[in-house]
Amino acid sequence: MITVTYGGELAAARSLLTDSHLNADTTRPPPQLFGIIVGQVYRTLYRHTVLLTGGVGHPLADALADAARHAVSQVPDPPPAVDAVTEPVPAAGLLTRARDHLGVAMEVLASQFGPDGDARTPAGIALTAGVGRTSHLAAVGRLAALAARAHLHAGDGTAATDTGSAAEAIRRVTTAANAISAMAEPGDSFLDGLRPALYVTGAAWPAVTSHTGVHEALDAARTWLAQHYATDLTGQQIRQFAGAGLALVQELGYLARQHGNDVTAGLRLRYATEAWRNAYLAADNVVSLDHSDGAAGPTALINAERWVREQLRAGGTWRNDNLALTGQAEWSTTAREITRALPDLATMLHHGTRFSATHHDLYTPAPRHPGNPVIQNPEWIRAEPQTPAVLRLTAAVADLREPSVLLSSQFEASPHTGLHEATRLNRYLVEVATTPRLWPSEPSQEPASSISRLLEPLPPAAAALRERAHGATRRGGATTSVSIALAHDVVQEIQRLQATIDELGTRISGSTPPTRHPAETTPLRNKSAAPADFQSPDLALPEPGLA
Amino acid sequence: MTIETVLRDAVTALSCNNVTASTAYAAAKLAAAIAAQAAAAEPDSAASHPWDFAALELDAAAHALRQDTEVVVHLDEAWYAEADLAQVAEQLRALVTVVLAWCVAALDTAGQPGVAATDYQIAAAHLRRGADEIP
Repeated sequence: MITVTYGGELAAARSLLTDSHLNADTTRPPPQLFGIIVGQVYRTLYRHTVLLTGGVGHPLADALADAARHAVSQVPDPPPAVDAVTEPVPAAGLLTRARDHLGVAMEVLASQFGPDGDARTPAGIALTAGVGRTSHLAAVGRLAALAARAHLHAGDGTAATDTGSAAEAIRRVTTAANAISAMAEPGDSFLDGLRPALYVTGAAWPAVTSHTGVHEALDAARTWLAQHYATDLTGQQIRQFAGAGLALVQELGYLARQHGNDVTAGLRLRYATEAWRNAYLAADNVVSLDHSDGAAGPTALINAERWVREQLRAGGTWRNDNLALTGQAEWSTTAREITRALPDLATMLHHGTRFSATHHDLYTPAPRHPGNPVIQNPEWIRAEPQTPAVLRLTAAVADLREPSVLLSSQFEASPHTGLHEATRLNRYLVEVATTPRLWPSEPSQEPASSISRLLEPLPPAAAALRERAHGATRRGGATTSVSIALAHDVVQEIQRLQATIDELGTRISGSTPPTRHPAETTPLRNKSAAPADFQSPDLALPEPGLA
Repeated sequence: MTIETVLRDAVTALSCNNVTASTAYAAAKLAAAIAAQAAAAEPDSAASHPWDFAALELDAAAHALRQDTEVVVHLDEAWYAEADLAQVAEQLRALVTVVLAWCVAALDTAGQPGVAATDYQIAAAHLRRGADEIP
């Protein structure tokens, strides 16, 4: 079975775009036809860029939009039928197929977001936060450069020497694409293995009947959690997830023992088992008012675990025969898929529990009353986050990720990227954007009057960022997008101002620009979309000697 | 109090022909809690998996039998300190057998208030698997 992945589709498109360039010299398609196809390629790449940058203006997106407009500007109305004439023209056919692959990749990417633009999968959360944005944009940039090269050579042959607006648009794409692709080396990205997001809603998930079904159910459980961890995760669902996770870890233990039971594996498995068991035990007697069970996410994970257990256990013992029968390779893949999913599930479970606890959605039993000391039918009271049972649960689910990550390394699998990476990047950006080190530590040594004027916009911007970040009530999607966008703006503004201040100080006093603290040299400096000669119109440099 | 006495009392109480839907639910819940705690108390962690699977199955059975109210099981970890887990397993199996027998009988006389016939079937299936898993 062929699995559609984002990386696979991009790789196919890259290969076809390269081939279309190689075939261009011998078989040139009609220019009108070529304009339509290459325009569609540009438009698809434009949509990629916009999604990856979160809609913030980006030079590559602007250049691609401009090139798409110019590519179709020469096309007559009505346009020629693309499919009817691409067959005998290899270059156009290759480009058409590249466009189709890019379109599929685009759909995979877009499926990570809902109609309102909010992330609906863990990968979407990470993308919104900007995890790996530079490398993703670089990959799109490399494709854009290939498309521009194909456009230049496989078109009517005049674009290479043309000085008109169309050729200028191609050159802009090439320049922007080369600039962005130079910012990151080609390499593995968490988007490479990204699969189309599943539609996970309602109160059911079909029974799992195969290894593929397990993989889909794991994706479904993560997707469901991504949509619910910051809204309405119930105590019962936390327990369902913890229980299924515990059983999966036990089953992984059995699979690991089939590959040899070294001491490290045993310790890691014990660590993970105890962590998931603690969470399962801690989730007992913590409930929510919504008693409805069978939500799609927990059900998907439970169904997946149920199928795995049925294959591996019967009558209370492990079934070695079945493992040999169904093939070690498939079980290795399934084990890796489970270990890849567990850390992400653990993170969202942790955040979801904290959210439910702080929003008073959890209930715990009232203090024991006289009667049967073991089994009681208590009153349930709305729990505070500091209620011991809730504290115990929160601490237990907080401890799930680390052993789960260790377990994934045991199976040579890398955990899925998601909320964990998004929150880490978010925190890092907020810290960078608001750290006082970015302001001159000894203002008296600087030319005070000009610099203080230049610094005026900084405190309000940083204050706005702090206020928004601290005041946000939702974590993950909305909070991340708000604070990341603000952090980006503030950090870029600070960096531009800092460079201006350095130059100003040099020009005024003739001194060497102050050495930057390492923390100030952030990757964001390289991510800045501003051209090299950027100069804020509001912050024009004063003439030397005015200070 | 020890975990063995808790189990013995429960089996005795249920064996007096006074099992109802609510007591069956409470007994399944108790069985699940005891199995879960036994998994944590199992000195050989590699041998803990049957307890964990038993706990999950029995919890699922309790979930199927649950009516409008949720009961709470209070178990002290100290009760397991001196416990003979083999003895606990034996008594736990006896408890599950009683509940399972009631479930199967209730299937024939379906119409117990608050619990549908399908719930009994689900509970019985989980109880059987849970009994199989108890070490």
